[in-house]
Amino acid sequence: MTPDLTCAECRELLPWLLAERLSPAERSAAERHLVDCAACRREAALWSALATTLADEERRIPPDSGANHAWLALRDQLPQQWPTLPPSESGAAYSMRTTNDAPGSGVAQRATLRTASRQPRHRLRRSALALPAAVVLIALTVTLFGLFGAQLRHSYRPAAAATSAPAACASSGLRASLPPNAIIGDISMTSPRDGWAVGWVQHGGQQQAVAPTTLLLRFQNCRWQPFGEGIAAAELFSVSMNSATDGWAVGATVIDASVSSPTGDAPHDWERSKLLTFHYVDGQWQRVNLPTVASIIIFAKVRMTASGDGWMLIDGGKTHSSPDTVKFAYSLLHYQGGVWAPVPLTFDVSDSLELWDVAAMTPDDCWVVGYGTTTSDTFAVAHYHQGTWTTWSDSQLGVTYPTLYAVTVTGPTGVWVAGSYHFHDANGDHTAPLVMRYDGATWTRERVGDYGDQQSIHDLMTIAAQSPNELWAFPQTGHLSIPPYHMARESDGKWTWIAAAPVNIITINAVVFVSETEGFAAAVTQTPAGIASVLLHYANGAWSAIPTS
Amino acid sequence: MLLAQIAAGDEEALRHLYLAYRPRLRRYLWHQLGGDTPCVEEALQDIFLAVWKTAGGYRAEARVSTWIYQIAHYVALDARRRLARRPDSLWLAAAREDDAAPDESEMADGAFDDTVLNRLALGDALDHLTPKHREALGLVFQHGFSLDETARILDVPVGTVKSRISYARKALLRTLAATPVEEVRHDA
Repeated sequence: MTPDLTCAECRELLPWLLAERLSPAERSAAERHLVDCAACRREAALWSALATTLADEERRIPPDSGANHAWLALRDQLPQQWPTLPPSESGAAYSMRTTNDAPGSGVAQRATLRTASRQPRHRLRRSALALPAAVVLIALTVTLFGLFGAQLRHSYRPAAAATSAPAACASSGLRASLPPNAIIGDISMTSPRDGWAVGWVQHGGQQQAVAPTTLLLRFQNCRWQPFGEGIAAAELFSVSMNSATDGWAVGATVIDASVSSPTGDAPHDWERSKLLTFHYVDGQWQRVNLPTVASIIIFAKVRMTASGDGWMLIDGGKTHSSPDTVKFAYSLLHYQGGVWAPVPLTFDVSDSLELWDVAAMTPDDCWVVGYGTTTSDTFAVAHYHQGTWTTWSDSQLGVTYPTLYAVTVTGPTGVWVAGSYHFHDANGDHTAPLVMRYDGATWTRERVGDYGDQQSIHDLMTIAAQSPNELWAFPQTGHLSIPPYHMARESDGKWTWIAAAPVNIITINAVVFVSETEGFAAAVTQTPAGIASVLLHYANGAWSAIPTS
Repeated sequence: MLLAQIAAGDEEALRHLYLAYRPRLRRYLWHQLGGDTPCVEEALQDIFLAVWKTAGGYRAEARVSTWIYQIAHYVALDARRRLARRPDSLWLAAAREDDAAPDESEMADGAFDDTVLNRLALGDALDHLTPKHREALGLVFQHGFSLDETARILDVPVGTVKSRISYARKALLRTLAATPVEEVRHDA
């Protein structure tokens, strides 16, 4: 027996009840409620009348007599429509993976893991994802979307490294060796000349007949190249280094959840399964088994502070406590004294809470953003400090209906969050890009304007600090016709939209600045063989694609 | 699998998909593009060119129909913007109002009476919805997509779909409230 619905819950289901798109449990609960509630029955009558009216409208459309003619016209255009390679200084597709024989290379444990199938939550949002379009949207749903919307440098570290570390590589001297169909999820730099990137490789081309393999890239001698061999049937989402000799990477194993068909032509359906964690110590990546905090893993992100303290935000998907009750499962682990331990998420929120990003700068202190509904208001930001959570709601931020996807910390007076918000004015109802700054006492909305007439760009998915007062935010558009990608940047408190990307980009998964004048980014673009990452380099005030070789 | 064949360059597979989906997509686009036939045909062509180019990216993670409607949504959005930029376009005003939604305070929950059940009046009221809200209603009622699928097609959070449906309802009620009852009954 499913729980009784409130009137509000019932009314929310009514459109889909009339459209016959509810689960049996939802339908049963809604129908039970309607038996006893005259007010909701009247509401149902409205939707019923509307459904009938909409059906009537269909009959006003003139009959279609031009299908065959239109098909011939379409067919004549097809040969000219194949996609082209994204611009690349190498002038060729991505290089094959190379074998890295550096000392200490290789992860500590390699295994092909296959476990029971389980359906992950799909977190597509604008998800997903300027593209050639929806195709990429879908691909990103599988790979990134929502999952890597806000990969960035989460704690700004002053450019001290730039003064003590080796000089930066010249853009013209940079190279990257990326396997075909490599997706880079995150980057962590320990100096302008040393860093790591993680992700995965989708084998088997578009059909993904072979499970994805983890990808670990090391940046040394001005070159990004694979480090060790990948682990089959697994992906890495996030990496964060405390120092050049210590860091963490997190990902998940994947399983094939496809349903076999008699003809054997069912598409493979790779789904994330179990948490996969690695610790970089003594020059090696060693696998570490953490306590089980979620039955499945949708996404995880790790952020370490320079002091060795760290945080891991784990999206465990959704669980059903009853057939029609869904609860999203997030876990936050705190690394302290050499141990990862769960931190209770004690926010006053409903089950609708979604957490998107975590950032930390100082020990025992972290920020989490997302959105959700509390018992009396809405959730936007939470701050953990020495055992206590402080949260801010929409009304406390002074913004209506914010959805926050990204957070970064530049210092005690610089906590920056990015996303979008919904508002009404004399011209109607709008969604607009949002950046807010917390100065340690109050939240202030930054002046971020709409991007011209491309009003579909309104979600800022990533924010990264170039300096304490100069930041970049990156939208995710999911729109067909917005090449090149645009970025918002702050300069003296003013945000402007900049056509910054050297290639047509679907989304930006990670942005890291190693000094106030240099940075790296992992972008996703589309190639004829599917989506793949391109590494970008920021120097001399401009972004350029790192050539592959 | 049809999309895999299309991804491999099979024109016959694309033809099958085109003929299967053209009727419903044409209906979807008809409402989205104000019944502008040339525009609808152009959009249909754009959708299937996009399918041809991007079928390889389909991951069977969503239903094929959801995936195709996702493309259709963006094509329609582009087409509406192009229409809005025509100097003499009646769509200019409509496009400007595209994001407009009724003021929630104007209509309390449940504030409708039997008048709303007049379908003719409801039909007129539907004509006053912005494309965005009309689209959400159409995807649910005319095209049978679930909440999650509608959110995916529109590339918005599930909560936004709910709010658009809710706004559409309120807009309908507001339009109906502004319609003289006598006239409604006469029309009936």
